[in-house]
Amino acid sequence: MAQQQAEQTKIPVLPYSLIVGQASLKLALELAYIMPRLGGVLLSGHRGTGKSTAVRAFAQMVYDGELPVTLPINATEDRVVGGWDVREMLQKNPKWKDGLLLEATNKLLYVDEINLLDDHIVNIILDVTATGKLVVARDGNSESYDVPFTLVGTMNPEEGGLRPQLLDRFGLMVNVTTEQDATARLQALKNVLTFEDEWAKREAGENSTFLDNAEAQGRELFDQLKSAQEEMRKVNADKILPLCVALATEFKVEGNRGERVLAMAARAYAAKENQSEVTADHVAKVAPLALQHRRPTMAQNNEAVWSPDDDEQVQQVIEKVG
Amino acid sequence: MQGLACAALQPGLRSILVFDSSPAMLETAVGLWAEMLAITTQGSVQSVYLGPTETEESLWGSMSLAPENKTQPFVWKAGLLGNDSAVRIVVIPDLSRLSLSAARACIALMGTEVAQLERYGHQARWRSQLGWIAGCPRSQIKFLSPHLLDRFALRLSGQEFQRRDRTTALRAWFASLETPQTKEPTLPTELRQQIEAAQQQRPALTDAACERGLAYFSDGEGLRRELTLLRLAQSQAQLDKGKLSKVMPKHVDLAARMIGLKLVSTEPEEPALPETKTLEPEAEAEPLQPESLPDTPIEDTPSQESRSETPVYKPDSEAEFPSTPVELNPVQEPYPEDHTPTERESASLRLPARRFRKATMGRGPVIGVEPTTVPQDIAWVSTLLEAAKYQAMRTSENGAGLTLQPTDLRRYRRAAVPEQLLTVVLDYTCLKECQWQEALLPYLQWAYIERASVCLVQVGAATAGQELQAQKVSAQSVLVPRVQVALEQGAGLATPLAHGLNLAQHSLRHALQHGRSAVQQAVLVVLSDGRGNVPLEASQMNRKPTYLVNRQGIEDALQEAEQIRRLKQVEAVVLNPQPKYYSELPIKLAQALGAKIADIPTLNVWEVDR
Repeated sequence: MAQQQAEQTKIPVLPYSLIVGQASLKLALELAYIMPRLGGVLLSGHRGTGKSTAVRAFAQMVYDGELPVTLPINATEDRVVGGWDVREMLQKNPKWKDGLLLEATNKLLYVDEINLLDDHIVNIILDVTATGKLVVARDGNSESYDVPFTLVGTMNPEEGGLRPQLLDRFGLMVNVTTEQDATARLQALKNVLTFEDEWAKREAGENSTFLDNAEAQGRELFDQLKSAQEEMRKVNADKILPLCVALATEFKVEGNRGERVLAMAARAYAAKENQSEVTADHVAKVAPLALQHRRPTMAQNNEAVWSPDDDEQVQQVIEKVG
Repeated sequence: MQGLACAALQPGLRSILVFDSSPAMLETAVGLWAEMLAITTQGSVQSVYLGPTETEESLWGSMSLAPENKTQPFVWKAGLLGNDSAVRIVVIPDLSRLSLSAARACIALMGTEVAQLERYGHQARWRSQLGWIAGCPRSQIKFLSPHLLDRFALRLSGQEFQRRDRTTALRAWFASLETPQTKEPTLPTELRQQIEAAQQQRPALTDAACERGLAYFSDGEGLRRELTLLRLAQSQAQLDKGKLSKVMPKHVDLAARMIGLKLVSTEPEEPALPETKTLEPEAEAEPLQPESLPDTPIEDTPSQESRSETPVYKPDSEAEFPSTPVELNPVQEPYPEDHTPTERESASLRLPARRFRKATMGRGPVIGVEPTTVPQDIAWVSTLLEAAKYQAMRTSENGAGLTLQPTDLRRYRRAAVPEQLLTVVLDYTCLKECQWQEALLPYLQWAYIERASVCLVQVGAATAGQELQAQKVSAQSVLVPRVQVALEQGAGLATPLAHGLNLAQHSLRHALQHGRSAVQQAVLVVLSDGRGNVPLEASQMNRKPTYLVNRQGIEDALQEAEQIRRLKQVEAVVLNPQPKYYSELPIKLAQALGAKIADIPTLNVWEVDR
């Protein structure tokens, strides 16, 4: 593990504090960390919007420099759920090797290009996220494990969507778009290119104040998130529960997962804002993240759409419920 | 060459798409780029080639026999893409013919900070240092996923290569045949030195340069293109002999010119400074200074004599192959996918669902293997290798032979190929007064459900290239946008029905009888009033008949229909638009085809002639 971590430090990943804009994306990742029971985040967006970079940067910040446990599109079933270690088997030394789902326990499981994943693998993830349990019954091994993890998936909707069942397993969804503000775009470009230069300097054995500062800012943000995670249970959410139900009803969300996620996300957001009580504003802020992929229209589209009209509708419900 | 040098200096540019390049030219470019990368990465650089036959196992690795190893006869063999941080060039001679597995590998590996392998008990995570170079005809861009294309940061064109002094090149090539060995293309010494010098400096980007970079793009579709432009500008500045320690807007303009980008805003391009003129793609052929990087195409030099004055271009050996360095010249349109109509299948990078009607017949090309419980289309080698992993545990000390268990079974994972074909002969001149869309819809739905390929024969369409001829639109699936576009055309003047049926007949014959075709069932739908008015011969000659054609067009159509009737595995249907006049013709056509006939409700109630 130490060797793997040492290897990871050699992989250049843009520090989280250098990611410019992308407020919704960042908010969703941070809420999922504060409240792991939210059930993960789906980042859907067109190419080049920095989805993967953001996930890796976030994981590196909150998991002590470690990259997220990643499920690549080349993964086979035995590596997902676990199987015999082939190298050991050939030496007549049967040894079980845990799969990625178990490896991700209490961590972040990142699935890049989740819509390109083999259907069979998607079904396995679906089962595990639905029950929180991994049942391994293969190759003569039969075990059951509790596997709480935060599932983070990225996808480009140009290559097809996800089934509604899998969409529903993601607590929050972000429709990632490119930052349109010219100043922010400029800053993003500068950050990326400066990072590349500074990384090269550091690899050459030189000091980099730029990277040191960025990492210090990351640690500061992480401390805030950790504190919010610890304080979250003290945040009172009683008053907004009827509002969550009303919003889920208004947006025709099937089942009751929508309102639960909405309430949890609002509570996590209030904790992040260092508030002791969840307000309607907190709910309004997280409503797009919790509801947009659960609306019936999503079945007909690969992309979730949340318009200013939807925000207006949220405000109307807030006024109505009081 | 300059693009290659920039890509060697900047890791963020190490994915190059070369439009319209010949295989020989790409090969030469790969050789030169490998030499440049060897300088910048200070190590040896190997090349691997990806094509239409790559499978997941060959790319990512698999169990393999190791006969030389007596203690362990089975070992894990790394795939073509490796699982280490070695510098390799991945060459894709034709991106449009790349296998699905390889295209997915491109998506997973290109432009990522970290690569990961999780296959069959093997786990690896590494910093990928692959350089990618792919060729692709511009005409094929429409068939490729924009998601895949977007992974190629640097776009260059090889078109100008065609305008070289081909006679000289041929002469040099013939000369090289007489030498006992063919040498690899080598970098001019001056260029080698220039790259080495460029490595030592890293000019800082100025705010003005970043702003200039943004001015080349109108809207926000990610920042990858902007980053590419600025990285290119930075490497241009690196190669600029260190006269400036900063990246200036002029470097951005030069980079933009190199890849064919034009300013979106009205801000004028800055003129190139004198010290950067050797970086100008359009620079004239005055003798280049030894320390400058050449990027002027060699064909601009008017004579052999003048070429000899440009030592940068002069090869080390006259008999070297090729005799001139390859030039990757600027392109006019670096991102043609932005303006090309999409003709690819939807979700084309997804693994195909197994939809073979006859499961015993694996038809599509192999793209990998997968576990199976049914003994059909078994991948025997993979199955045996899977079993081999467990032999040490399964056999006793004196046990012999290989023990197979059901869990070892592996079958081929195959790319989807249509096993059904829908052929529609659509006579646009008879559609005006009937509800033809509703009548055709069930057949299009069938094609969608069965994942059938589609062949639409347009008879008398307003957009026909030749009025006297029918034309054919083929697609892998009914979802391909051009099928929809073709269906929505208006009516023309002539009705070359016989030619349309002739085209349909040839298409069906080809699909059902040609080589290893996978088509098991074909449905032919003819929507026509039967009133062909162009004889087949006139269509084939594309010449207006000078004689009175009378019923010749109709008779020819009926004869073609008779020939289609003889084809097996074709289920034919005539959709009858119930014309006011000659209402018997669609029925005769159906009889000739041996087809069922279905009436299409008309939009009019005809008055009965008395």
